Amino acid sequence: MQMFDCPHCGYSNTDLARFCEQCGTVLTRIPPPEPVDPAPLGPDAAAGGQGPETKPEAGERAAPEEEQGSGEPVFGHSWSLPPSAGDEAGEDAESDPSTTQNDAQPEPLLGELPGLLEPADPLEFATAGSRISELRNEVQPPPETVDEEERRRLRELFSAEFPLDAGVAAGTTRAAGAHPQVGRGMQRRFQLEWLLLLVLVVAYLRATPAPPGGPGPHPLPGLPQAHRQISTLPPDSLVLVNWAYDPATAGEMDRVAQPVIEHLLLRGANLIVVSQLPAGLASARRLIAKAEDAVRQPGRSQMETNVVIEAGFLPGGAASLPLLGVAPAQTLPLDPGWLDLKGRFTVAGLDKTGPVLNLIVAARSEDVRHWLEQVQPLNAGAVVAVTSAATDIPLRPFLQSGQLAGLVSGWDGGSAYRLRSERAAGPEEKAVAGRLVSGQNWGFAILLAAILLGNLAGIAERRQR
Amino acid sequence: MFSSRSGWSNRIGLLVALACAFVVISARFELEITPAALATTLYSWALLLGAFALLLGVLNALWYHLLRVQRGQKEWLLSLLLLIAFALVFGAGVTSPKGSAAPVAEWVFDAILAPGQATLFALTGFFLLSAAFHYLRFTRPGGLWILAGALLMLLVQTPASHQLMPVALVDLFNWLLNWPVMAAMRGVLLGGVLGLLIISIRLVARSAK
Repeated sequence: MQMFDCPHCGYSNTDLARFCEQCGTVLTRIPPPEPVDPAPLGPDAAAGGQGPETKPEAGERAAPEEEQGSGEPVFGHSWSLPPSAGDEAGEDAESDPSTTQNDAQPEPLLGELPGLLEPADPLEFATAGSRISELRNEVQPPPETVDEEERRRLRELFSAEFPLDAGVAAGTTRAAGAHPQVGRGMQRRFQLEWLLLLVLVVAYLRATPAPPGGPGPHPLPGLPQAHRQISTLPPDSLVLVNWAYDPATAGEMDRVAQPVIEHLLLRGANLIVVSQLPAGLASARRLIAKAEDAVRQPGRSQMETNVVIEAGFLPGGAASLPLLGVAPAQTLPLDPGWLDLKGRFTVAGLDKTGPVLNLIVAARSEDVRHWLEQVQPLNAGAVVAVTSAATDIPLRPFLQSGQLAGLVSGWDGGSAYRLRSERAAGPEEKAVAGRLVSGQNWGFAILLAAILLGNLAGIAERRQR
Repeated sequence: MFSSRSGWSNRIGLLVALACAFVVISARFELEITPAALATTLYSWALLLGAFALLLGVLNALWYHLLRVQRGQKEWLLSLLLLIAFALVFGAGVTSPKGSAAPVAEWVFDAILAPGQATLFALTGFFLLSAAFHYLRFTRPGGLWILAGALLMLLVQTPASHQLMPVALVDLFNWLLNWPVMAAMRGVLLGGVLGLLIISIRLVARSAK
């Protein structure tokens, strides 16, 4: 079977493959280039990035071996031309009568890497018989000049570190041997940084000492509101729960979600759990069972007082959420046998009253944001989010605007919520929490060591140069 | 974008999309121009489309891996494993009255899916460590600012450092979070939404040509 090498990673794919099996790049078969007349090719090839003295003749391309090996971005192509060089080349093309109109067409910046923001090409929308199609015939596209090697260099350029060295304008070549870090711009002046460091040190030395036991973790602004919101729920309230995490983040999320779920169970809320993740409901099932076990008291079966319905997996991403806001009974893929459960409530009634509370248990801020945009304006229920620590900051604007009625984030948020709850943590839970604290301390120590070593390595590299 | 289709098919597709957008926007702003039930119907169609797309995706993945096994391509054994796992879980879910909570499906979740996902996600720690080593350097342009911010966040949120932190530093941390960081977050949110709006308008205008 014939093989076809991926232009991105070099992996050998079968000839039938449309995407690279290694990296997913679209495999476009480019026919072998026809021999090109060495006559002028226009401004794209005119600028070799070597200054006016060494600029090659029009149509002459720098040899690949000249462009490679320097380790620096090569500005010898149309997409990397500085405006002045491009203009100059364009002027050359205009002044040269032998240059054709086609040659003067600027090559698109990212011709083969379509982006949403690339300028529209009217010729692309030409229909048969229209005047524009005649134009298309008149204006032939320039010959394919962006070869695979050039694309590879383009990708290298974009993946390379942005050249921040001041004093060297983008698109200009540096003096031979000059180091990219050598510059005299603001980036290389450390006055502001040293000032910041000094302020931090003075603040530390002069600051009020911490109370015994330390000042504790930073405040969790949405936590009291979340607790109040659930504490004031009347019994048998309908709570629509969106379970938006799976085992990947369960290590953190279970610690946050369990105290809140326990609180809801103790308040006698009826939970309708829905998930947009394939493994979300299975995660929910396990955690809710654990919470039910934890709050079960002797002589009282929690399952008799609470109703927890697995409303199922909801495909379609954010597009399927509005229906949940308008007509939840239509949306929830429930077993019909569950529709009237123990006479406590009917899911069909959810359409009339709507949920009293929406609880979003999510590891990513997008899931909460989608709910706030797509569901909350339609069902007008209060929204409490239970999230990972990383999600706290992106969600605070929604908390401040009042769109979120409460926010519990991170395992420290879960611990703080637990302290407010009726049930104190048992010895096993305390042991787990202790291990988490210990793990976080060790993680911090390792990160600190990595930062220190990295900086030492950076200093050593600078001295070597 | 639609260069492979004729101009008319583009315009018809665009008209349908614009009509749907009009119905949904009208319902969202309670303009009562179109019946609310129409918007609800469109929402339910979106849900159906989502489910159908999921099925198509599953079928496509199955077909792809079947071909790999059939041709004996590199790592075809992994493809075979995927097909067997699919057949097991699908068969268990369809045949058991418990559906997705069937014992086999539960076992697959507990024994394979949960530990696998947790392990993969745990690798994030190593990426973080590598990034901290390579990029949190004060020798980089603007690096000291980033380093100071990262250290402050780490120090304030780490339990062990609660004993050492003066109140002023915690206050500084909170001030940073509540003012500059929050302002930046609001800017990002607003900028993102405005950008999306402009891209949508541009896409529609471009398709209408």
